[in-house]
Amino acid sequence: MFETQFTNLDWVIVVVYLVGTGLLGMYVNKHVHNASDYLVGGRGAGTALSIASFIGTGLGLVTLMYASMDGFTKGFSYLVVPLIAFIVYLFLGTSGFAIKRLREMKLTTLPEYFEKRFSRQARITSGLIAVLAGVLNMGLFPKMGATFITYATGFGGEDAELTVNLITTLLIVMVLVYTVMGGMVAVLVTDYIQFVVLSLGLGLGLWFCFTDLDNNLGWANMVSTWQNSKGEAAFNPVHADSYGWTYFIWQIVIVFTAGICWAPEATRALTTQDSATTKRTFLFGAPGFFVRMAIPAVWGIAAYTYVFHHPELHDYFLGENAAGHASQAMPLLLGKIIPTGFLGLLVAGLLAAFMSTHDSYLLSWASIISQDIIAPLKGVDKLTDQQSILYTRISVVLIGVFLLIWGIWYELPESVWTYMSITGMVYLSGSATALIGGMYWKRASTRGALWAMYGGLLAISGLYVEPIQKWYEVEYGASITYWFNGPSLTLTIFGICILLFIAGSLMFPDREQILIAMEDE
Amino acid sequence: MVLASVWIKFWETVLTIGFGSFTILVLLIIPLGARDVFRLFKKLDAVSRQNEDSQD
Repeated sequence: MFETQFTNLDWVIVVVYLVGTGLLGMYVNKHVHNASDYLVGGRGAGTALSIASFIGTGLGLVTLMYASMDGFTKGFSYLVVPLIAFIVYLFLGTSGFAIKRLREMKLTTLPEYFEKRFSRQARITSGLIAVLAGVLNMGLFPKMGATFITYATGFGGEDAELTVNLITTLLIVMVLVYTVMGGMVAVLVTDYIQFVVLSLGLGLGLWFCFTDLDNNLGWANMVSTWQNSKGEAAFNPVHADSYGWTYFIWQIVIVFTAGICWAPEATRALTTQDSATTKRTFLFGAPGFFVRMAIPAVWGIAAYTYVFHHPELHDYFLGENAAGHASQAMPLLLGKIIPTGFLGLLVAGLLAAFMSTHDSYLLSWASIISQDIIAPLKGVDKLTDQQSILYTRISVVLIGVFLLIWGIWYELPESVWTYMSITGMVYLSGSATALIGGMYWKRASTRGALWAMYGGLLAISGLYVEPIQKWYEVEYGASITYWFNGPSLTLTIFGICILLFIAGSLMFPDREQILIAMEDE
Repeated sequence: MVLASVWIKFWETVLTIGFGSFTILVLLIIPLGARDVFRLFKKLDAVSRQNEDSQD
């Protein structure tokens, strides 16, 4: 039931590809001469390379996994999320809203903005919360990557947990070595290669989903299977049995705020040659941000169709006592429909995507620790190049250790995208409010920014929504999921952050603002 | 079911536009990105040489 077309030839392709990419990462290291080169690639990335890196960072194996999981469970309705991303990035790219000013300020990390606009305390607080949210957010990445490899290569099964955990460990070690060695120049270059290989791999997977009629796939089969199985809810995202309006609004808020101030993406805006390149990167990167979720969502939709028409798999994934998890379906599908050789290339590309996302994320959070937490706490404006690289590398390793523990211990929720959205909101709800407010509202003050950031911490409670829902149902025999869920809770917290920001700013204006007001009088 | 068919047509159109624009992007990025990689190396090395010269 779990056999795939992955053979020794595919393993050879994977190993050659990974070793080749690793050697390349080490080779480009010779162009790294100082901390700026290591952290922001010397701000020398042109438009095409910036776009490739921008998309390469967002196009990780985990993205493919979470999007395919939601495609598998919700069908075509999930396509609304990539559509929102497409529109939001087109808007940011044409208007330059917030991102243009960020680039013009020549920042190395995003929290630096908070020191320039507010105070050093705001920078440290933002840095701490960014790292907390960011590391929690990527907590499930390694496990997702390992689940993909396990099931696409045919190691999957009902008792595959040990295999998944072993591969998780191996992947984390690989990515740590790679990130510590290379820095941002290696990230930029390998992101480019990943972009090329993955674009081909994504297209290949899509091609088989649309043309493999022998396995009941193809557009018409997928549409009719979903229509017969789930009706309108499979296509209408605001349908009562699908995501609903709250989720829809929540996604707009998340994608918009993440585009501006989610460090791994925003760091790309900081590494470009100039602000015009930043705008172009967002504008031309928009199709990439659509595709990175839309293609795997179609894979997930195809996986459901495939499983639906194969009785054994139907029982395992969709039966009354189903033991299968949505995360296993897409890799299993690809392993079964993509021919040997092509499969190796696709797995190699996706593994490389895994590395690409991890190195960018690790570097983003680790550089925030060194630049925005350690440096201000040491009372220096800037660390020396050597200190900067050393602290960043130590932070990378520490984050890796956390990922190992969290990845193995934490159980995969039904929707990893929802988990990621909730953990992202811990940082986004407070910091996006302070960042946008600080840019476009003159009366914004340090106290307002700090209150908003502290308010964002309430979003951690979102991680306990599912247990509370289950407990309430068992205890009182009624469901509270309609009004008490991750989206409604974190949207409320976002509103609280805005109120705290306004109240704090009006009640405790900064000293300079008081002086300006006195001068005006 | 009428509403469902409207949604199906909608997603078909969205996917065609999205995948089509991405294909064009890929065809442009592959050669131009390679050019940018070499330019980046040159720039980093040139800046480093300049810094060394100014220190001397």
